[in-house]
Amino acid sequence: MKIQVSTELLDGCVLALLAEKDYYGYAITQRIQQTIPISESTLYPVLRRLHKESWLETYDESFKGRNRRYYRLTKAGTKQLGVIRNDWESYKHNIDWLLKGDNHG
Amino acid sequence: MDKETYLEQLKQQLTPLKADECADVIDFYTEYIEDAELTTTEEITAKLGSPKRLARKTLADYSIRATEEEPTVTTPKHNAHLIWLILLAVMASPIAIPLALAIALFFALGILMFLLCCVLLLVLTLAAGVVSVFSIIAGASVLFSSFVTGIFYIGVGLAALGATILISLLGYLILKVLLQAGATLTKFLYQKIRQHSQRKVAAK
Repeated sequence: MKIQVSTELLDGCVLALLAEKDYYGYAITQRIQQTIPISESTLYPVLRRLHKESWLETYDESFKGRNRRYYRLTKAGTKQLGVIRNDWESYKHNIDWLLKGDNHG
Repeated sequence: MDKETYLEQLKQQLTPLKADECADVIDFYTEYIEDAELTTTEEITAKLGSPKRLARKTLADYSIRATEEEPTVTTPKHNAHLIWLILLAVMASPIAIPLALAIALFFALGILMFLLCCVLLLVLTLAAGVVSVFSIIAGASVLFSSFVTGIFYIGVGLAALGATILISLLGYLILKVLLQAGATLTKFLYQKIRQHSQRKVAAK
């Protein structure tokens, strides 16, 4: 896919994943990569930003004798997800209007 | 062993970060490498890129956001550091070669001018300092044989000493302002480049 995903959209995708269930870092990248081609080093800055905005919180669980950090959506995060979804809907509508060419009539 | 080597190298590249931030990055990628079941350095590099590259991406993200949040931090060291980080980020990001060349030339000229200013100020300060020391010594040595000449030279020496202090203070201020201007300009340019690439997320 040639179209680049903006940071806001990527934020939304991560928040939407976490709305389903809690994830750990690697699993989030895997899930996103199933749909859009992001590089392996893209996710850390995203998670850091979302955490700083208090849209997600972290907790640690032990797994095979080591630590695994899970990310959980906060109330503020759920709200933000709603904002991004709305933004995306109107954006999508506008792009469709331009791209599909039914705006000439 | 390979995984430890990679993470150790990454850690060494992350020294500009605070200890807890650095630990956070290292923890994240330690876990990531474990979960991705990567063992050799080759496997890790194929996924995450070289430690240097990964560190640059991380640092660029930190530096830009940090300066967006606190634009009032303006120590000379901070500014020089910021210019350096942004340069690294520009080098690590995929932009057109002519643009990269123009930017490189621009910065080479800027750094050259800055160094010239430094050298000029240093020479002036040193010269004034040397004059003051020698005048005072000369004045003191003839003070008893010729009181008036002695006093005159000591006076010249003290005036030169004052000039030394003034020049060095003024020079420090000028360099600080130059560095500040450089950092602001660099930040501005970097933001233009980022807007130019439409804030896209670096994909493969």
